[in-house]
Amino acid sequence: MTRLLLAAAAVVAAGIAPAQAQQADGRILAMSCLNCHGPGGKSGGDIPSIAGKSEDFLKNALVDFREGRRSGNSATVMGRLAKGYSDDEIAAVAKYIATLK
Amino acid sequence: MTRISRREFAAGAAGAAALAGFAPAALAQGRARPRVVVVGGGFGGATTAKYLRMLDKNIQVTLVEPSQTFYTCPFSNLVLGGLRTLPSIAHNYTAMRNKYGVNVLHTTATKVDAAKKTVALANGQTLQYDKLVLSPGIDFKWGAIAGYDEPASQLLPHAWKAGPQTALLRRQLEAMKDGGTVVIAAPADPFRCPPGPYERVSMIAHYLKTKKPKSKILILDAKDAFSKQGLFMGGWKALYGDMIEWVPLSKDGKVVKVDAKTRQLECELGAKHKGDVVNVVPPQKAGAIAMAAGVAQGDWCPINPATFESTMQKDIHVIGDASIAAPMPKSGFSASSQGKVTAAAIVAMLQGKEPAAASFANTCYSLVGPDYGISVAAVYKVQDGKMIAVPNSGGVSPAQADPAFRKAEARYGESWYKANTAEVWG
Repeated sequence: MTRLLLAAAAVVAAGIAPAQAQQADGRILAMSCLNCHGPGGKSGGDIPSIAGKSEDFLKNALVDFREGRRSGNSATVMGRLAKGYSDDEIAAVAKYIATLK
Repeated sequence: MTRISRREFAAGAAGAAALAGFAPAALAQGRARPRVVVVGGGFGGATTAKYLRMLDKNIQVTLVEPSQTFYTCPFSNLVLGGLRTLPSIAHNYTAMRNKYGVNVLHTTATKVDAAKKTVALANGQTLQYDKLVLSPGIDFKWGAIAGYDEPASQLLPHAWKAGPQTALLRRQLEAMKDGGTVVIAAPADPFRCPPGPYERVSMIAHYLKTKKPKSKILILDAKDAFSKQGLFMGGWKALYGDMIEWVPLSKDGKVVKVDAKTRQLECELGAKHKGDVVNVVPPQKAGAIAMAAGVAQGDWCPINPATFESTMQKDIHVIGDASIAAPMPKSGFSASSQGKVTAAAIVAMLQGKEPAAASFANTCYSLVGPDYGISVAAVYKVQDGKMIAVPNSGGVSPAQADPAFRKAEARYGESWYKANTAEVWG
């Protein structure tokens, strides 16, 4: 019984100990976006809605922002924010937001 | 080989997992529906309560918030400036109850028993929790500035909790004669909303410029630098001429004493000032319930940034202004961002799963003038157990920009407020 418990504990401990590089979670990442782009990605104001945009559109937009290819008056904070996300994170968040109706 | 019961297995697993840092289903052992209590219905608490229900309807969520109407500090400066009305920054808990099924109790949490896992309420109830989230905001360090106690704030408002205090300060501004002086005492770091006092100065300046143009604003600051300083000062110069004077700490800007009846202020090195309207933003600390719960170390609450669980009490999470989450600023946006990550982490922990990688952001707009907005934006994550700003990202608005850019940021700020408050209370 002790051996079984120890084995179980090892399995549990291995599963629960935080990995050094956790996989990007699109839903968690997108949570930050909704405070500006609106609940469910639907904005009620000048900030554009993002719900229902295609995965490619969102990914390209974020990469363009990150690389400084979109500037001017319509792109005030996005360049600064997009620089905070890796390729994997951009892919994950674009995939998730594309699922919002 | 002896068969072990599920209970023994879970207890053993919980023991091992506790060593690794997480304690799963043992929390809700034998209970069909886990109970989470959230104290504080502001940007942090309301977000957490809503997201818990959105992520797992099996969780029973009780939200304890004294007010039936929540007035946001964000945009309260616009009320002072005459650009908004107080009702326009009011929010209620109807959606919280009806749309998300949160049990909202309009009372105050008075005591926490971390061992028994109970919260005592002023209405006489005692709530049992599997997980507790405290998002109590700030309380003021009365007496830190000699003479500035709670009764004094009825004469010299802080308006650093929105609602009646906002209305009081606005009334005083309306009653002030043209040519009067508005004095604002700004605190040292850390405090709720770093750009707040300077947006307030901007909005008051806008009001005075339009209605009482001979008036002046004096900022007595307990520090030598402030958030978005270059941008604010550039905007003040462009819009308000020489109406605003800023006295930093090193030039004797730190207020140490006030006389509420005569509206006089005294600074550290002896300078004396008198205002026709005086706004004191005093030193702050975590809300009282955090102190009562034993999760504060000095003025603020240390947490594990991956889950915002207290490092001092198990199964109590502390978010928002009350928490030590630097470099995230103490802002409504930060509180909401932290609330979402915390909700997701709690859902995972109650299901015996590993929480997903945390990701946070803070984007805040400040209005310098009706068509002149500025912003700060940053992305945060957890690295080696510490909260960090993601390198080479984030920042403030450009120092040089054309009027169209400043106007765009003013309009985005409006949109930001609408989205933010809908996300939290809608």
